[in-house]
Amino acid sequence: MTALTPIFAADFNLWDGFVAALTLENLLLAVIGCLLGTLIGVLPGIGPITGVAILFPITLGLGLGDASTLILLASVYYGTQYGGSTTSILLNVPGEASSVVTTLDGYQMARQGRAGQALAISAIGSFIAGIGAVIGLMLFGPPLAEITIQFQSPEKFMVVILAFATVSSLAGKSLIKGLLAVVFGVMLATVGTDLQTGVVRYTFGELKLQEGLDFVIIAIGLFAVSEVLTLLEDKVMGEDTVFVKADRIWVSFKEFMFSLGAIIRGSFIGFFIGLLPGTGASVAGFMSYGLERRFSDRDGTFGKGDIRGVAAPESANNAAAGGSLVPLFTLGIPGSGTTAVLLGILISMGVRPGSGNVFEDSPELIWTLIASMFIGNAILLLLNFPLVNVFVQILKIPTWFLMPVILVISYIGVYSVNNSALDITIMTIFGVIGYFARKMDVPLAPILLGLILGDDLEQNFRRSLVADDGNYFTFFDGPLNIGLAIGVVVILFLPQILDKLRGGKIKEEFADSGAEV
Amino acid sequence: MANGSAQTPPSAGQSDPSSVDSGKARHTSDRVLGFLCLALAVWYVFETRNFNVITFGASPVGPKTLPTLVGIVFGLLALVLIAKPSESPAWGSATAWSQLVAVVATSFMFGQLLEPLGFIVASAILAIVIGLFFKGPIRKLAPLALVFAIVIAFIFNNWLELRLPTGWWGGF
Repeated sequence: MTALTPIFAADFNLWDGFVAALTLENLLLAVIGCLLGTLIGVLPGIGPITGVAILFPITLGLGLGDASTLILLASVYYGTQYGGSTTSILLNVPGEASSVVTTLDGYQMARQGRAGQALAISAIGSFIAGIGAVIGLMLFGPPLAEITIQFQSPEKFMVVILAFATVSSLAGKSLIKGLLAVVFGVMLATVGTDLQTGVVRYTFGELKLQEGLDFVIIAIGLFAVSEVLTLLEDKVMGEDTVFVKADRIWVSFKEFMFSLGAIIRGSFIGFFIGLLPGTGASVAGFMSYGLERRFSDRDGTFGKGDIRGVAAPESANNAAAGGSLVPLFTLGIPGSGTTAVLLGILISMGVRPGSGNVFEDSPELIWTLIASMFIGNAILLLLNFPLVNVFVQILKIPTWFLMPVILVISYIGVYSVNNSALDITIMTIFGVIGYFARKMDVPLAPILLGLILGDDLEQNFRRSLVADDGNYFTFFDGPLNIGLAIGVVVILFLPQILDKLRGGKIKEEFADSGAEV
Repeated sequence: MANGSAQTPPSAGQSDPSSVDSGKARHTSDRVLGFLCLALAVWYVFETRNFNVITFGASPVGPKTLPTLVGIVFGLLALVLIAKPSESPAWGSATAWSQLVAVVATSFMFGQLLEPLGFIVASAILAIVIGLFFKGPIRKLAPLALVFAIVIAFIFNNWLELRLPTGWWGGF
């Protein structure tokens, strides 16, 4: 088993990761992260990306180590996946885009008085899928990351282009708008002092802008503030929210065995969809539900409260969340807004996947994080069984109080990064930009990714050209570069071609599933 | 997308002037966005002239190269959007717009008032104003907002190593 060698033979391996993740502090952080994440997941509208982005500056204030910060934020990320399905089942309101499809059978089950079973199978399926995905990450991650050793500046440049292509091609309804978004992000990245020459660019003479735009501030503005502005218009929920109460959260062994096939199939589908950069957990949920229905719906019970219709997508979206960490950790290509934020956080910690092999360069961080994923999944399973009814109570908080709370926490988190009132202004401006972007179907994740990777793009661009005397063909020199270039073209145009073949269905599924989150 | 499904109550009965126009007007939003992006692209490329570049030798690339390229690509994409716009979304009513403007204005004000007023007062005001826009009853909202601001200030100042502004009066 050569693939396993790096896991157990390296200086710092999975075992050490567990030892590090199981310290009292880290365990406590994982529990807090899972709790917060589940609560954020339960709230419709407030997605994982908002949660992670708002909490990041606050965690800086805790003065935690890098590994601990990552454990906390990653736990929030899985927590939202669990929490999102809860409201799908009990309320028919998906807490997250990734659990939209769970409403189909989940809510039907709840109406038939089987909410407990739906919640239980969702938690068990998520757990199995989550663990499976982490194992997959350990198997695929290290060998894939080895490729990056061969990367020179031109290859690194092309990988960033590939990341841009994937996120803009799949994140929204329109390719043009996705591309505009990602290029806009790159433009934002050029604000500030040029690292190579010290030249100041696009700062409007503002001293504080010389350091560049902080991605956390932009992320909170684009996602959290614009969310509040959008809800102001929509006003989705009020004090009179009614939900089905689940009495006893449990499934019989028979029901579990009945769903096991769906869980396993969902996990595999989800993981492999997660591997494809640019496709997120929501796409996985839709795909696995569709396939499961075709595979096992013999009596037409799907859509009428079939437990397998909950098991399959719930396993798939969790597996996809894990699978999407493979391109993130190996090539630095995030599949969603949330993983883009995670990438930004990793870069701010000096870890740059895609530019080097993170499994060798920062083994402590990566293996501790992976170990914490096992632990996080277990914590979520344990938390969800007794506490689901408690979590749902958060929905009783009226919008008129919840929205100010989110806004104040966002603003104060941003302020505390640099103690700068200018940051609050910048964040508000991006909140407005985010609001208009949402209205006009301009995806937000590419803007963020452009900003996060823009600097990398430029540095590698310039290094490549300096090394090759300004010859632009350096980016297409060698088999790796050509492969990457083909990858870019395929990813940009594949959805369009599939779209034509299948009568516009796929793109709609991607877009309607709200893949931007 | 939830957009458009639940408009603000006051406008529910009336027709929406921006979206229910003649067939021509339905692509206006994308065109406007396209022209804005185009203008941004032009400015972005021309702004490179103001970079204070001191050249050492004959480097093929400098701090202007990528921005120039990126600006051109952005401009071209904007032209494509202008040429092939998609349907405009349903824009909110005048009430919704004024609320939006008011919330944004309040947020800007918060940035200005945070340091002089201190965190507790500024954020309680922000929370109350935003809460009112979400139709919160002031009698419940005001005390809740104040308690919330005090709790957050306590957490930030005592549990997190983050200092919140105390205001000129030296309170929290």
